[in-house]
Amino acid sequence: MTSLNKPFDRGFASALATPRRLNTQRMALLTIIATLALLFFIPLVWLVISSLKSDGEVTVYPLQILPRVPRWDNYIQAVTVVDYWGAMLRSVLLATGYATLTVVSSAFVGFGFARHRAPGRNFLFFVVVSMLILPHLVVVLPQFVLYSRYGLANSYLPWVLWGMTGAPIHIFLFRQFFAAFPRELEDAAEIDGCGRLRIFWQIFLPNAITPMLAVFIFSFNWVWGDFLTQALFLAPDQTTLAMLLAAAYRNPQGLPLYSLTMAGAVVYILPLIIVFLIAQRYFMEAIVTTGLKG
Amino acid sequence: MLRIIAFPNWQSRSAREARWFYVFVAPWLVGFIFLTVIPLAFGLYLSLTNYNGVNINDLKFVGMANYERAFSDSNVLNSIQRTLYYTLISVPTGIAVSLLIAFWMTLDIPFKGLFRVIFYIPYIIPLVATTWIWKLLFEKNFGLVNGVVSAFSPGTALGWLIDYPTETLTLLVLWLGTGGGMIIFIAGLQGIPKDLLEAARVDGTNPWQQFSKITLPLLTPVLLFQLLLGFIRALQIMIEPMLLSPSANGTLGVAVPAANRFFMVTAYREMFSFNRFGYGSALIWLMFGTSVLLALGILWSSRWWVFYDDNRIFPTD
Repeated sequence: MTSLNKPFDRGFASALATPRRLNTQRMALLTIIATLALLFFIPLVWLVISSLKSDGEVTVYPLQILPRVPRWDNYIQAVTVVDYWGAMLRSVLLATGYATLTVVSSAFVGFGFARHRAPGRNFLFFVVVSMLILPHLVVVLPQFVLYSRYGLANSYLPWVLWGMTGAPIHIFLFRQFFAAFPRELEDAAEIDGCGRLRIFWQIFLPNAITPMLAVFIFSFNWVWGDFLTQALFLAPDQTTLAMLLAAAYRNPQGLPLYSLTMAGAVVYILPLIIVFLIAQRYFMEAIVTTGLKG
Repeated sequence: MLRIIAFPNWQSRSAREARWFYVFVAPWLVGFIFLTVIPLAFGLYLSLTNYNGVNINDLKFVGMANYERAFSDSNVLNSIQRTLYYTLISVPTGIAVSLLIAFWMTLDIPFKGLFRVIFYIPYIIPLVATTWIWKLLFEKNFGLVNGVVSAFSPGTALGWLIDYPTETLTLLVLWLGTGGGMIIFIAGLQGIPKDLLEAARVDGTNPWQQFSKITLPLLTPVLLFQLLLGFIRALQIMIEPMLLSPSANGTLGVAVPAANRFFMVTAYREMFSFNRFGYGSALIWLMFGTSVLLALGILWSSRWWVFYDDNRIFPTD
């Protein structure tokens, strides 16, 4: 895999490098990129600024950029006026549970595709890859109708089922990863009398920590940020953070309390950003594998 | 004995391997059948009935009536128009912007790591938070965007969320989606052999020629996949416009104003706001059929514009 941190030093850069024009050209380009990056960054800055305003300051006309005094108290209110910690606990449990299950099941299935020949294998792999572009909603909405018929809605069970059966994109990722392992590794283990399950569990899985980590983070983020399926499948007393953030902070007239919502949102997204900054490399490499190879 | 006669190779290595294959893929296969195929089939069955959420025991079979109704329902026709408009502006801009930024990120410029992180972070922010940010930015009276525009043209109060909902939505999707596309394009660009570009440079080509004659053709397999995903995602857009609606709250479907009713929003409302599950299922199946046809069409067209080395999306083995 190409490392993303390797500078792309020769190709395009050297093509641009008619020496005299280099500096002005690079400065112009840098300015354009920096401006665009600033535009991409402003919404996040605005989120944080708004979380420190009073609600009057958020909605005042004409626009007031900064709060007179930053109201850190908003953060305390945001996590106390609603059952924030309860919702967070449910989000953590749901996301961790789903991510753990899907890491193991996707690796299991990916190993099957990568290391076994069988009639029907290519067809089934074609189905897995096709599922990558199947519209998610088209399946989820009828699933909900069906699940509610059989009493599976209003529970965490759907996430258990989804987790146990693996996700096509992660099956694909593990398949690509395991397919690159040397054959000798398996042969040696088989001669030693190692069964297939033990080969998977004791040889392949321990050597797949990086993709497992990436898949775990992906899956965790998906559940953490996913609003629709939680709003559909969970009961009102199972409110998660995504559901809470969508509707909870309102004044008695039912109008949104912007500053509290923003403070709640900052606490909601901060863990994701921290984990992303720490695990950046694995994260991006995994995306590259799923998005490109095949 | 019987087993050996019926399956002469039952004990052979290849048969054993095949059996293990099915053991390993079983979790996915069972899930695929019960969590995908059966719900889809159930939806197809419902789409031929008058199911309204309670009459499951005396369903009436209505044939193709739900499908016929869709093509004379002005709500549906309007939502199709909106969805197509959104798809046609958002998919090309999304791909162009992420490709352009990815290209920049492969150039030799300072602070590249920082820029990459900034462009990527919106991609990991949950939608519920993103839509709140967007509401604050584009609010008519106290939004930042109108505030900034007012500095140049005082008193500007464009109702972005109400009068230009599709454009505002496109900007939101651009903001949150660019990072994902960018990473994939960066990897694609880095996979292009440098000696090829070096040779072209020695031959006296200009950067644009190198891009259009070498980089772009070699990037077409990546473009194909991005195009497929982009179209499918855009056509089934639903939750973003719902959450962007001014009064979105716990009861999602009811509050969505007409301008934000894209095709899947309409289907959702038919099912969950009006309990017309039969009709809603028909709309979902129309979306499913359209997506499959579109995907096949794009794949079929790829033979004329995608340059294949060994980077096939569907490996032929």
